[in-house]
Amino acid sequence: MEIQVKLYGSLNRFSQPDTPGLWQGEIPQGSRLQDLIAQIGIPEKEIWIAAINGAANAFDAEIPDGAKVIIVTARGSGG
Amino acid sequence: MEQEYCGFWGRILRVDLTTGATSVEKPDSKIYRQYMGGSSLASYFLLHELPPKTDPLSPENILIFTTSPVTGSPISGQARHTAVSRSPLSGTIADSQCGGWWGVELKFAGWDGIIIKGASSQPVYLYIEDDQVQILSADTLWGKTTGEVQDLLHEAHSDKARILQCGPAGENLVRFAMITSDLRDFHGRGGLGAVMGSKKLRAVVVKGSHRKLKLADPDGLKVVRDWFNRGVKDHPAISLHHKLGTPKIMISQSLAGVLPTYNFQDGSFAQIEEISGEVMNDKIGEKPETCYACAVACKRNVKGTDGKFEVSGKYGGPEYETLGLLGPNLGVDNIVAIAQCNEACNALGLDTISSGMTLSWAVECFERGLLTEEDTGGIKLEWNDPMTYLDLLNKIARREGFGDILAEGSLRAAKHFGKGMEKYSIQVKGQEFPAHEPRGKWGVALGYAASPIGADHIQAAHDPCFDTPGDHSTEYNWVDETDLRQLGVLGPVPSEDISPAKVRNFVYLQQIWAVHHVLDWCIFTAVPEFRALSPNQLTEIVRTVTGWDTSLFDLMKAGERAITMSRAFNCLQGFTPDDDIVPDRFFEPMRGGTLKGHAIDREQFLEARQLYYGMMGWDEYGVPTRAKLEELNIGWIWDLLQKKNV
Repeated sequence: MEIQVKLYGSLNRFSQPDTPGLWQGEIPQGSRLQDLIAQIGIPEKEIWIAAINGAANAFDAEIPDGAKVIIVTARGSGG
Repeated sequence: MEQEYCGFWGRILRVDLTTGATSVEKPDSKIYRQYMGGSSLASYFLLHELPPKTDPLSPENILIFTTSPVTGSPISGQARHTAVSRSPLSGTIADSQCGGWWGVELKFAGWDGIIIKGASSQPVYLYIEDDQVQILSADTLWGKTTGEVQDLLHEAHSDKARILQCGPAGENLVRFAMITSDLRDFHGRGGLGAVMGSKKLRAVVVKGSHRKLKLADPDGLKVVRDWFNRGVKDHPAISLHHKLGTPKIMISQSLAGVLPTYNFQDGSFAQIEEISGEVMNDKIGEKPETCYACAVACKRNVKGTDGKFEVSGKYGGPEYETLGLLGPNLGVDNIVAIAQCNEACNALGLDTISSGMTLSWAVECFERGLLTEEDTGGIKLEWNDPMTYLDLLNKIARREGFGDILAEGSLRAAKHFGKGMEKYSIQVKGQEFPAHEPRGKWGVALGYAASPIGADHIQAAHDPCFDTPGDHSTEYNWVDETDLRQLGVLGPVPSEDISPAKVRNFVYLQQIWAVHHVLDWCIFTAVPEFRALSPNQLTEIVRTVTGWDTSLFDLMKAGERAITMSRAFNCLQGFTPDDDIVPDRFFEPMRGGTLKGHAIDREQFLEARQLYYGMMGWDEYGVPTRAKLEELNIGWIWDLLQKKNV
């Protein structure tokens, strides 16, 4: 199934070459966030939050077809 | 002029605006060794010289600017200075650090600080060029925007002069008026601009010729600089901070549910992707600017228009706090509109945080039918209405109509109108919240409540810094590789937790954050997620600059001393534990966003507050004990507390 992933902050470097901040592609039916993260190649420890269709989710959440996923690293840490 | 000490001059300028007299004070070097600089050195003078409960807007209030022994040394993060006074907004101590170039220029002029007393009968500004100090007429500056005054003063003196000034808001005693440094850096909080205004002091202009400060061990400092340069090279968090600055967290704050939205009713904003740091860069971003000698260079710079709203580029760009509170907190989803509101605040001399929060209080009260058009002078208040907000910002700064009431801040405005509107004033001790929803970060709630200046987000690292599961003593991910281990913060502790472990972390982190305020260091070279400079490396900077045989233990004690002095100041003004509390809203479930339904547990919070007092060496009423004061070598404060029966 086809999905779109927006990559914020330093995760930008995992974007596809012609689309900064964006990763678009096919993932197997029933994939979970952790599978997607592994497919893109992002080390899980760099991620603070991943969201499916605007809602933050645990890494074992299943991704529906056509989902818009956001993955971010920067956290509000007191500056 | 020969610099007597390494890192500092041993000279403080005293100015009495009532008499027009100026003098030089040369504190004993032991005063510097113990209090060091920044908020601690300033508090030393404030506690000694300001009678408790002095009206903050009276001539008797004192305004103190300080630097630290490391200010102006040639390494990133040493560009800040401190302003301290009694706050007209909260009645607490006002203690604010500001970046840029002004503090460094003051050092280059041969001064460690300025103590300003009294009030002029006519508008004036202070001109300092090395030892030459003049009090000059500000008749032609009064009433003008900060940008106009900056241009006029540059024309009158030199475009290389550094200028600290209040704006029209300060002149008009708006209780949340700020002080701006060269239009782009700010003493934002606490209404320090109104203190300047009450003294009829529009600006402090500085130009110095001693541009190379005497250092104890210049070669040693170069070694630290090499550590720093290695630390920042290819560092993903620092390069991101250079590229996006603090607005980098807009998206993550919203997704995490801790982005203030609609006056802290929700924690996530549906249109967040319209107003992210990335969008701001794409639409109106210009090359980031820097403070003195800084390799991080994170200052926002914006210019442009979308046809309806426009920013000139003269006043810098909004930081995260401003974006949050003039944006989602007011329901605004237009990045150029937010940037224009930011520019208006900067031109008028208004704190963007209290401005956004006072406006959002008014909008929520209007929406609930508590405020009416009769109260607002015919102005209809709605979310996402930046044109009206721009009009109101002007009215606040000029104290016109409804703006005159809002100029008192949200708590006083609520008390003015009554009808239970205090409930919607989101503040601690009268100072409005910054842009971090504490229901998702319970340590931040404690920070807001315990902060000596009223609600403040720069009291300590926020909870997400040490909430990642795992054994932090041995295994860190790069975000959490914080060097907090050097302080014994070994975590993890969940963000929504206020257990003894969280309180202990908060106490240690508040102390290391206070070290930054004492030494006027920028946290963005050393904040845990960046880790460019660890606490131990920061210690080396002090050693190499000053030659002091100091240690991290000694610096942590200096931080603790500063916090305790501020606490004692507030006790002398009559503050009690009842004031150390966040509004009821935060003990109630969130209306919407990722953390919908989440609330802080009140009982746990109150227990944590008492535990915090105990860990700090304060009694059950939050008053520093004699033992703690003596341990910190500030036993003289015990006498002050005894005299006032605190």
